[in-house]
Amino acid sequence: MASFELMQELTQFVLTESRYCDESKYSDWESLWTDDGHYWVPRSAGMDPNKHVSHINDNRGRIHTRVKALNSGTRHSQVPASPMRRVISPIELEAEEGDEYTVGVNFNLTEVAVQSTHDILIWAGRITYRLRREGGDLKMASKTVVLVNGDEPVPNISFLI
Amino acid sequence: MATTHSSFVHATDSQAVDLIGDGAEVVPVVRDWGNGHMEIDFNVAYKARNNPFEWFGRVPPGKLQNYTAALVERYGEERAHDLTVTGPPHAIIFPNLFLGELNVVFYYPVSPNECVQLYTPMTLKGAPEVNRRALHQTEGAVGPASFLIPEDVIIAERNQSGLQAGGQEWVDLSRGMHREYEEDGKIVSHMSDETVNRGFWRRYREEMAKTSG
Repeated sequence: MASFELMQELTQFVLTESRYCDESKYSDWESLWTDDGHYWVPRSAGMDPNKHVSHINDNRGRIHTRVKALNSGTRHSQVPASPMRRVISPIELEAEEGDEYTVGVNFNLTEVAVQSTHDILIWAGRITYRLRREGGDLKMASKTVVLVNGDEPVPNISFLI
Repeated sequence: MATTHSSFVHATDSQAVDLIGDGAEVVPVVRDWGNGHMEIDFNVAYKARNNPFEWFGRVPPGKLQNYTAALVERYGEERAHDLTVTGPPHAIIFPNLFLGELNVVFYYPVSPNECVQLYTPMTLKGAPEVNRRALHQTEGAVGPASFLIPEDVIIAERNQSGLQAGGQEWVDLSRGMHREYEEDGKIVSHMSDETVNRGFWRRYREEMAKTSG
């Protein structure tokens, strides 16, 4: 059984990461990543990112490009940034191996597409984080988001999901 | 010159900026193939610049060593080089097939306010280096979280709002009409001209005017 302190720390990390996404704090969000970070939104669970097209399959370099684009002011699909809030379920510590923790949560996100249609969009699914302790701090080594409707036509995901 | 809306490509290092920028010596052209088919011919610019794989996101040839070696073995140095300088077409086959280099896209208008796009990378038999990159490039260019299509989608949605505003009987698609020219029986013009839009809608009108049965 993981200690209360560890669960608190992991929860805090996930909630902070979620808030950075909601509030379009792009550079703060980027600082959470390890150097080998992998940001992945497959079409559905169990797909091979080297064989199947993913919605997002960012290595660390592309994570940086994504943040740079969002910070550029000419990422029209996020100018202005979508107002959004996500509700995160209590975390489940799925695995613990040395300095790495695999954490799963369910989420429900409401986004307003203010850039054009002003539609209210609902996003939901499960996020699996691989969090690694580096020099005392937790960092994000991978974030995988499996949407409940990932294999259906989806609107823009140009915000941080 | 900004050809359409300013884009994130202007905020980063990209071959597109070089190709259409003021400093470019040979600018890509648009070509109306007739019957609603059309292309942006980037290859005229790639040929002038003569760099291998510029069409493929400027991948350094060293990252496609096996593929390049196989091309040389089959075609010889010179022809292999030429083959890597120009890329597959960037074209629309009427009514709803888009070929964007190694991206294949079908777009389905399902109602006046909704259009669904299906897409896939084109992959080559026996060229895993190319296919790995093609997959990554499709994710970066064409998907809902990519760096290009979401921008186009937003602009299209804003255009749609404009069209719904009413009060205007006509949409002006006359850009570049004064400088079109004919080449091999096809209408050609500067990349930023609406030559291809005119070609598409001419065929559309033709089809819609046909009496059924």
